[in-house]
Amino acid sequence: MTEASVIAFHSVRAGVGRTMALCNAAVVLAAAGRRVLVLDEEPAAPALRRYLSRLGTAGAGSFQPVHLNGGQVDWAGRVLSLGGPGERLDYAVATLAPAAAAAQALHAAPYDHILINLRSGAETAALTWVAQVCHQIVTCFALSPAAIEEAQDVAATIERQAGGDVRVVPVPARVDAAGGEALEAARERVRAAFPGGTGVEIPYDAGYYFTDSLAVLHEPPGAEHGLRRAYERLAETLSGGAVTTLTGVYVVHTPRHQLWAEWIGSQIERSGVRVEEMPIADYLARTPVDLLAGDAGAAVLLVSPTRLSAPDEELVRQLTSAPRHQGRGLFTVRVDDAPAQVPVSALDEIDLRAGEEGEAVAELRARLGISGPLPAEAAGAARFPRADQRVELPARNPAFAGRSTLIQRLRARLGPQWDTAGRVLLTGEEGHGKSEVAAEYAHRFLGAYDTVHWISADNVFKAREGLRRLGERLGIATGGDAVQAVLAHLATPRSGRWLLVYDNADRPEVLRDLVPGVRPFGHVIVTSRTRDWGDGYDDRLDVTAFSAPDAVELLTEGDVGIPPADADRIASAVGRLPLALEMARAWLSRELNSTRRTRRPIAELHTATIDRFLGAYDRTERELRGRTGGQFVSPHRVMVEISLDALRGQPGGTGAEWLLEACAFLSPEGASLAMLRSSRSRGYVAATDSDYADELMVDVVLRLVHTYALVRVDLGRRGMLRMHRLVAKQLRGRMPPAERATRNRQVLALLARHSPTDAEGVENELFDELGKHLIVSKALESDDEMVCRWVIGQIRYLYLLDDRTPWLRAKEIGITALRHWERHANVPLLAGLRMQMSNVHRALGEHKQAFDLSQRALRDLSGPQRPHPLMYVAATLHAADLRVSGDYDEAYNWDFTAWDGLNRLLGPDHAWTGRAMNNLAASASLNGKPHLALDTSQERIARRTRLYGDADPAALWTACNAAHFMRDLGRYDDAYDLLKTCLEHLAHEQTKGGPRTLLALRLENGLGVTERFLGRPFEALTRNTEALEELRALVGDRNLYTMLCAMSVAADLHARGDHDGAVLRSRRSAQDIARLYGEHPMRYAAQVNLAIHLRGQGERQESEALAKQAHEWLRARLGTRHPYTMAAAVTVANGVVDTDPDRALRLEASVLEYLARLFGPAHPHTRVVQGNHENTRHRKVGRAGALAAGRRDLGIEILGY
Amino acid sequence: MSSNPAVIRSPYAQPGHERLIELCQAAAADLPSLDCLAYYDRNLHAFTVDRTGDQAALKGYETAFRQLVGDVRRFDDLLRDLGTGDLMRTVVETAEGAVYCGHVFAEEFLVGATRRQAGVDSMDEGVGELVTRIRKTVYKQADQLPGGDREQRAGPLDQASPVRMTAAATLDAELAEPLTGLLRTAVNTGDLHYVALHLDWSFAFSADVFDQPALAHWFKGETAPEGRRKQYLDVAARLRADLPELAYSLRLFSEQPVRRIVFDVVAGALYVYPLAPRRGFVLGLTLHQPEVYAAEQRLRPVVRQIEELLRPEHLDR
Repeated sequence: MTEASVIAFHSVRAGVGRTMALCNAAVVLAAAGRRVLVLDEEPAAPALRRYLSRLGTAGAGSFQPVHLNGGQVDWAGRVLSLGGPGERLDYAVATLAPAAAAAQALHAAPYDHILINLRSGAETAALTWVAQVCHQIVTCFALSPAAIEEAQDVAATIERQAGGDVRVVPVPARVDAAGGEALEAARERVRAAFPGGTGVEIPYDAGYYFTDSLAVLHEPPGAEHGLRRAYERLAETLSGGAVTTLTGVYVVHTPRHQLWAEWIGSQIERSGVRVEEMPIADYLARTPVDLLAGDAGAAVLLVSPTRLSAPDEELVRQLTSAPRHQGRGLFTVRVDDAPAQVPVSALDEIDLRAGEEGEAVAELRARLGISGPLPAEAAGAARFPRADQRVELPARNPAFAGRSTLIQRLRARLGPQWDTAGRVLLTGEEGHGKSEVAAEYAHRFLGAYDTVHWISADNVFKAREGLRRLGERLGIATGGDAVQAVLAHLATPRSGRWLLVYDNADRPEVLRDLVPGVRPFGHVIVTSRTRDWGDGYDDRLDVTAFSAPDAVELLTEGDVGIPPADADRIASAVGRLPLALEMARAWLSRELNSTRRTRRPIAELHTATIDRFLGAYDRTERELRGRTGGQFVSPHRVMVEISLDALRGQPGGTGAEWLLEACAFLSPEGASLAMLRSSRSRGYVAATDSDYADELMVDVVLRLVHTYALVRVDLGRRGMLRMHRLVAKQLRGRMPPAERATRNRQVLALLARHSPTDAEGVENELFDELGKHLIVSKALESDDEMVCRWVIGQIRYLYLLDDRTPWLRAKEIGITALRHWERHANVPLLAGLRMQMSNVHRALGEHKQAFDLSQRALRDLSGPQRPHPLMYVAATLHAADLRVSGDYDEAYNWDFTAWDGLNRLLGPDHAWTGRAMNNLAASASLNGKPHLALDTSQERIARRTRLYGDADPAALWTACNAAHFMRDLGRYDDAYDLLKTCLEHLAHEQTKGGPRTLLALRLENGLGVTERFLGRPFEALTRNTEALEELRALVGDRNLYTMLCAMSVAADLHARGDHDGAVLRSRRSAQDIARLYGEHPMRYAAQVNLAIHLRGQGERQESEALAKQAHEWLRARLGTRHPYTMAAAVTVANGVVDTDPDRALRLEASVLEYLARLFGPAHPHTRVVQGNHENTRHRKVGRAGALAAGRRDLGIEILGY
Repeated sequence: MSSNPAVIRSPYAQPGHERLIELCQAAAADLPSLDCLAYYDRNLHAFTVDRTGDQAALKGYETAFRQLVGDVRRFDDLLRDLGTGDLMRTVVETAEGAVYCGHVFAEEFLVGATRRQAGVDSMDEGVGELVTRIRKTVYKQADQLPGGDREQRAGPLDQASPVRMTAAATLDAELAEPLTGLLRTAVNTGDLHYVALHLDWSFAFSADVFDQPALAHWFKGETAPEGRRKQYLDVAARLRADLPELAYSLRLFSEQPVRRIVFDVVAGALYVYPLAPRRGFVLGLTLHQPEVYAAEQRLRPVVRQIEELLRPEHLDR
């Protein structure tokens, strides 16, 4: 162990900043990794303890003193943490023992530096002690002539006593930089007094004389002037140059590690140190720091010693031989587990391969000797590359090579600072590798983003679907339109840093309104064959054929490794087209690594293989050209032919050719390996090729086609086979028409076999896979029954996803299919298609189309003699359209027919019968049959819960309605209990603290309404208001449930006497419903409520007019005995009781008669009308006490269905 | 009114109704009181034979009748538990006319209607005969004697049969007494076997001869007289909720209050006569199918007298 360096800090006079200098120097030394002890010889003076308390350790003054008496000293338990891992400073209060004993104890102490704070003064005894014990003495003094002289005397005394063994470090303090000539004169005096002086001086900064802040903790590093810099120089002087100040950092990176370099650079910059990042090649060219000659202030970080290219490797070898200094010199930074390609010593390596972001930052700072404050990161700051993120990307191409410049330019255009245009268009011809470049960029800079999402954008539906899926991954509330929700979300800072790649967006109009703004922290890459995109896409990068070096790199790297000259010949032959080159590379790799090759030396083998390739290429091109009358034949076409030729005769070769031709009819987005390898697929294809009977042989086939780069097979949990659309086009083009049709038919049959029979069943996610292939495989044009059923199932699946995007997609699919299917007129299938389309149109608010389609389906299906459940399913759909159109009578009829038929054919427990029962209950309620409604809904709940348990969503949805029906019948307590129970069941299924589902919100809304009926409007208002906010976020303002909840809030406000608030909300709801439904009972029901609230507000005239209009309309449409009409009649009566009491009496008598018959005399509504009726009679005869305040209304609770 | 009944086929109709249409057209031509006939098969409207020529009204009637068919099927479920067979004829009458819903066969129903009060009986009889004709000629089924034997007239009362009277504890004595007197002279073992009065959603009074040996074969085992009385109370409880709903179903035919309903089952019929005062209704019953007509003839004056008893001025007297 080396001897501790003992340094005394002394000043003749107090108040010159001695203690401050000691503390700051101590912190700098400690932050650089030095073991430092601060000894306080003056415990009575509080300054040192106060300053040290700034380190965040309380109670420094409570340490017991140590006695330097020559024996063993227990130094433990005196640690003051500096914050960072390993950064510590020890503190002790010391009693000065005789010099010899003190020297023995201190020199043997386990520290690099011991800094002693001496009392002020110039007592000879103290100076003698210093001379005998310390190695250095820092003497602080002001720049007055007297102070300089006093310091000079002290130095002389020390030198005299120590005989030159003690170094005196003169430190002028409180130096006013604005001192002008006087200052210069003073400095000259100091230089004269201390000829070997260090030049260190402490500037005057008034701020530090009013606080206890330590400059080295308070000021950021890197400034040329200031107190921090002065103390750093002092520490450098005291450590003999071992602790130096970092003046700048160069972060040098490989192409693959640019992202880490950006993050490392940002963290160092955040600490106030100047940073420059550059690729290794640039560093080589510029050599900004000559490390071999030594640059004390700069550090170079090489990120990383792995994945180096050959030229970079040599440079790195040179660099690693440079001498190393603390806090400067060359460091290799390890960020991945790939093997290092250059020798790396543990001393020079900063290892960031493990740990969280905070640990990585601390390690960087510690190794670079950076101390001081670490400001909070600004929003959008470089992201720790290993932080959690959401990624949806195609698998990375492990053979990707070249394109470094292009990707660097792409990164520069997007940039880590979020201050660029942020949106880059990658254009180029098909097969030039636009998608590959975008994917490589996304993978390479993955860590820069919190969210990375890949969106196929060759049509608007795929683009929308991509955004919808992003919304799903982000878990944001969709408001009924996930795309709009996602676009809005990405425009907010809470979306974090994100990258969206829109791939294959050849038609700019596809992305109209589907690309988010890039502020604050977004990047967008669009790949397209179209160059001109107009405004907003000015930043364009062309992806052309490979440059010669890139092409050569592709063919020389990895397992091919052919000589550059040969690589160039091959690249030239295939036109340096990336896709063709990749296929050529695959062919060469396969041939060179084949176990069937003849034994010969490597060089000879290379030559023969290359010649064989070039010969085959030339021969194939000539043949193809001959077949096309001498026209140009694309290298892709040639490569497909060569590759097919190569795989023939190999194990799995026959099956491979079939698979490739089949894949030409599958989506270029890829086909799931699970589907291709499934027993259903194998069972079907085995009839064509026996290899497919064997699961492992299928894997052989997949491997074979992958190795020739005809497809990419990515294994893993979501294993995928992808064929480039250009390869698919070549494969389809080379098949004779009859064979092409057969293969297409086979593919359709294979796909249709995977179509789940139930779009709501456990296998329904297969539709995600099948949906990708729907257009490419021409499924919509097929008249095969199985395929048609798949298409119908696909539409239903999309419909059930409950979002605008899948609905639009379903509509498009349906319209196209209908156009084709009407030609072959398979009635059940056509009807099935129309039924599903009616659902979709209804969901999109296109009620007329929905109505026409369901009606047409119903008519087509009701003809045949043999009863079929489909007809009754069509009846339920048509009934839904009738409800939407406000024809409650016919809706009820069809719902009854549906329920009756399904019950008879499928039994009461079948899912469709259950749905029909639920709908029948709703229709019954709307059609003036509240008792039937409740009975039916309760039966449905009982049947579902018996089979599926209490938390069954279908049962809970019906329970929402059942509670409504209970309220209709005046059974408020029963409704309350039912809803409470339902919410308890749902709570077990719901993620705690997560957003509530639509079902939960419906139940809450129902509970709120019930609470109001039970006379608890405050609770009702709170509950309904919360539900309303969540509904708005979840399904949007235009959703019926949101509108109904808003009406509930209005009713709650009315009940609490806030009539202005009630009218405001009630009016908005009524307008929304009128806009959405037109002339409809719901519109006038809402108008009745508005009239009630307006009367509460004092707007009697408008109230009366609205009530009368609503009453007239409802009476004509629903009859006088419908609950809506009766509520309207009561509202009218309440409005006219003063002006036309006879009319009020007539209306009330009629309503009372029917209410009493329908609900019984004890029903709350009956009693309300009974009370009003008596009130009217009393008023009419002028009986005292019959006040208007005693009258009540029957607000309408509209049923959501 | 059109003299030649028109046939309107439903767009949802199944083929194979030609013979039925012929029979309906012929019946309609011979039945002046009939306004229209609508045929329903598996709850789907099949065709309408119309004598009104009012297409708009007819559309509403078809909708209302279809709801009626549904309601009849529900009433059928309710009454089947009484062990007196399927509901084969349902007549609903208002001040504007009446509707007859007849079960033809399997899931097929024929609904006839008249909008003239004076034509109610003849429409009832005529449609009943048509139903029987269709059953016999098309489906080769037996005559179920819907509406009973119209030649039968209410005979002299069997004064020897004691009538069991039951009054609700809450019933006013001044009402119980005249009711007892009235029903003792109406309820008998020959035709009208049971009469009950319900007021304001509650049972008020009943008279029956279920204990009499002449009816013993109807009340064996679980259907002992006491059990059956309870069943009729349950039916009445259901009816107080179902009747307003039935009235609503028919509102597109007539929005006037329902004043008479007959549920004619295989063995007998249940009569429901809503009363204006105190939202009450009278329930009458016969278990003998041939006496269905006669029993109702006996019930009608009783209903009028009960209504009279319930008028406030009567009670005030």
